[in-house]
Amino acid sequence: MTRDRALEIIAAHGGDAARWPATEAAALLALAESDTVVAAALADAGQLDAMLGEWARDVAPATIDLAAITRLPVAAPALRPARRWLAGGLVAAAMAAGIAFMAPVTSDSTMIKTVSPPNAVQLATADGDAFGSDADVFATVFTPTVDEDALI
Amino acid sequence: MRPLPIPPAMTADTPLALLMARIVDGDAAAFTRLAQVLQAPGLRLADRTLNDRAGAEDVVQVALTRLWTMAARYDPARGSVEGWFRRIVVNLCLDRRRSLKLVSPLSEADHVASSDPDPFEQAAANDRRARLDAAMATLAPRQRAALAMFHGDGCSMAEIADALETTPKAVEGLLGRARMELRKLIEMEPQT
Repeated sequence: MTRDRALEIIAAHGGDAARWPATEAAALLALAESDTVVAAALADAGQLDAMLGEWARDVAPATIDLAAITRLPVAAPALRPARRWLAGGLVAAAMAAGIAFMAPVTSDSTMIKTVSPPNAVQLATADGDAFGSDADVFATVFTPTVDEDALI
Repeated sequence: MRPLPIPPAMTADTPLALLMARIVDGDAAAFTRLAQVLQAPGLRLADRTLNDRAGAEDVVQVALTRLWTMAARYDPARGSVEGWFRRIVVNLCLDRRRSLKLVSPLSEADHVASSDPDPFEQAAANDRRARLDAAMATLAPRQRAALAMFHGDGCSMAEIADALETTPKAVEGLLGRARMELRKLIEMEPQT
């Protein structure tokens, strides 16, 4: 037991040896008999202990409305972790199935049809019928709106 | 979570964990019995942590409400009912810390006069208590909570650490710094 450790214990636990760590109490008491600094710290701690004990316990009782509490419903027991995972998995599977049904399907209803957005390459290779020249396609795709123009 | 056996009859000595098992089933009498045990220490802890009487009563009301409505979440394998309730109270108190205000600055404590016409020693004790109350108002809520649990309820470092969700070593440091700050703030004279 060093002096520093003894002072650390007294500073945190106070002067009552019964509240000290059981494995260090005997060594601290022995040190206090030979070390005047530790002995003085021990004596000082008792005064603060008494004040803090009074401070902590001196609280007037209150009346809590317990009847109002018991009128509330009791929550159902929480699911165990394994059951939570199972429930989560079921929810995820149900959501996936829902998305699959809502997505567009091919004529034979066996495959999900992939719908790609029109892009500049497809438009440009459409023989120019729909949008005219490449310049028209470019203008259609890249012409900014009024708001975008204002930002530019 | 291990299921608790339901006791056949409830007495004053019924363990708190078994009362919890009854509360899960909506037993209001078991709740009342448990609340009677936990209410006073919960109020002391909240009052000292918040330094605010009205706020402390609110916290205990909410904590007991959670005890009733969330009883099924209590897991006896993870600790005692008292420890679980302490953690609820401390968390509620710390959640309110932003609304905390100092009860009275230290400078005001210099002018607190004893209203007790007793001898000098009583007046000196009253003055020390006023200084302590004022000094407490300057500590962090976590420090006050640790002091209240250690000195009020006789909690061990491990129990305080559980309530504050930290380690016993950190609690030791927290208490040491709190006591050191208090000594400075109240200017306690060393014993001779």
